[in-house]
Amino acid sequence: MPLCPNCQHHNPVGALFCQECGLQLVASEATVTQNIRTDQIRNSVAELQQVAPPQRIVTTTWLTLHLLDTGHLLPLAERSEFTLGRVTENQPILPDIDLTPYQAHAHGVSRLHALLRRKSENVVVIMDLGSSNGTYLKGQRLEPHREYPLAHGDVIALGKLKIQVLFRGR
Amino acid sequence: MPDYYELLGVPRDATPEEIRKAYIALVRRLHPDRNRYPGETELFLDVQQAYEVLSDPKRRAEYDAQLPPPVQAPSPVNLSTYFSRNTLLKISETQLLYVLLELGVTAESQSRALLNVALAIDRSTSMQGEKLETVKKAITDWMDALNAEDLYSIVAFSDRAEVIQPSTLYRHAQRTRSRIYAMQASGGTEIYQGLRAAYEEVLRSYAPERLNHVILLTDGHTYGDEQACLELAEEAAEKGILISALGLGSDWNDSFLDRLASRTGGSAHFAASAEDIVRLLNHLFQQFRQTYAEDTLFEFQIPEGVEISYVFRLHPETLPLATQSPLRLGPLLSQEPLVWLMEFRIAPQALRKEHLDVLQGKVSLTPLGSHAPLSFPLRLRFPVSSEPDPSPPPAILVKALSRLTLYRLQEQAQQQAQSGNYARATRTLHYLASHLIGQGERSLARTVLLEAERLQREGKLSEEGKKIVKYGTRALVTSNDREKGREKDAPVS
Repeated sequence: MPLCPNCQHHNPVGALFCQECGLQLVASEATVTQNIRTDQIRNSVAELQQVAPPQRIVTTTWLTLHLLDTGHLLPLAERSEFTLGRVTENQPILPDIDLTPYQAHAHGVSRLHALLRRKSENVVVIMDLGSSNGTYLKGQRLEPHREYPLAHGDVIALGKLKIQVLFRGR
Repeated sequence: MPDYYELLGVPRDATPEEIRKAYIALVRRLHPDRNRYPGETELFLDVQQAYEVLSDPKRRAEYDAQLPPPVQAPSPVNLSTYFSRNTLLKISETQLLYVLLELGVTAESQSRALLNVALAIDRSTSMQGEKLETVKKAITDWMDALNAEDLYSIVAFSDRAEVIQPSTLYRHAQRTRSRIYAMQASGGTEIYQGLRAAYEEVLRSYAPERLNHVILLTDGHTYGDEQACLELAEEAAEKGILISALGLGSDWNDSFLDRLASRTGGSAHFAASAEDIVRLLNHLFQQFRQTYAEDTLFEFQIPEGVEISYVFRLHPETLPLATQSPLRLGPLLSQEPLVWLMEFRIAPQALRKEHLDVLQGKVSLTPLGSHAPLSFPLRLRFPVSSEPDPSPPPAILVKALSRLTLYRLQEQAQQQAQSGNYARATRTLHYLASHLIGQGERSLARTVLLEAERLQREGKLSEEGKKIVKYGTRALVTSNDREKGREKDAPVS
């Protein structure tokens, strides 16, 4: 019985997606990730094979979050998109990065606050996900659900939690 | 000498029973007392002769002996199958198997199908005001797209039906527009009345080379006549008439309209706004024009221990279908494939032999304007092995299932909410929202989260939210690109 790594649901043999939480349980012939995003599968196999080999690049850190209040460094790698927020009881959606250990609640971070996305090699954008206390870039409150480009060394604030973004593990 | 098997539309290894059935069906249609087209009487005589030979084992054997090997003429239609695995596993618990089937037209087909359609318009009190005016406008706009040779009719209904425009050629129609504009809202909603009148209009002008279709526009629940409607749909399907439904606003019964449409192979849609109605009508009619065959039928048998737990048509119109034979798959378009996915549950007792025929049957369709049905015999045979199949499932199947999974999570949440299991329903909605965010469907994800909150607060989902989520995830199943998904992504109110 395949056990879902996400929700621990026991699925019947032959299930391709978890019947409880919808996680993809098997690799398809054209992709090796466990990600539910399927837009890439459509690309021809040839194309994918060209892209597939340099796996090391994927696992390299492309952004490091520097939490200014506590001095912690959080490297981001592997995926090209991360949601930031904090985890509580009865959580709606789990954010990719849980900021609870950094006094997120006291600083007014929403449960699903903002999203960081790597658009290309050197282009990283931030998007506010409709948070209660807003996301700020260089002191300006961002309009929710719009992408704003970031530069190396920019300071963003989720509510009052200040984070400096450092490109590529620098 | 004609090929008797081809004439009867059966495979060469057909059983006597299959031959008899095919013969009876043809005779019903071609009998000189009943046929409608020149040349059918001659065809009838040929069919008679074919049956005389093939029904007699001795004569059939003689005939088979002199029959040239089948000509591999390129079939105008192609059936492809994809399996989630190539073997079944010998285990002592129930296992799942997914099969994706794709029917595509390979022949060049430039013809534009002529229509024989009826619109059944709900004019009950709830339609009063802007809603009805919008519908009137949408319909008159739509009429501009009709062809002079199209047959059409319009029925308005509340608790009774009124034929506003009897079935006629578009070029003969007069003053229909003014009659449409004169429609007044009043009365309750009895869908059966409207459906029956519209169906009879289409039936009166039925022509196999046309697209025979009833379109129902309604904004409400029907009272007490749901069973009658479904029976009518069954009757329509038998006669080769499809029913599609457009639900307006948020108060109509979506699962009922889905069932109604799926009985005939039609489709069901959700129109949140006036623009949606016009867009959906245009979309439907574009598809009608491209129809290669109107009625695709899938007949099959499954052995004991095998259960079909889910059938979903993925393309061209997404719709959950019935799980028993015969399955009406709806129209096959000339430019787009007809794709459906089946989930099988296989119990251990079915796996006693070295292989298992999970399904046996055939897909048949008759191209518009043709009298010769095309038939695709299908046997899904899998070896039973004690080792799992190591090869990964085909990408096309995983992709389809990944999108369908979102729709099913939504279904699951609604069922859980309905049975009062709010905690689980909320959790399922949260899973769904996470996946939607992952796919970039933020506005839909937000609606899902709002519904989850509402569920916790009020103990129920909102009718509108339910429909936005249901039809939003359903639209994702078929969307080929982001734009399309976005377009159908209804706004959050």
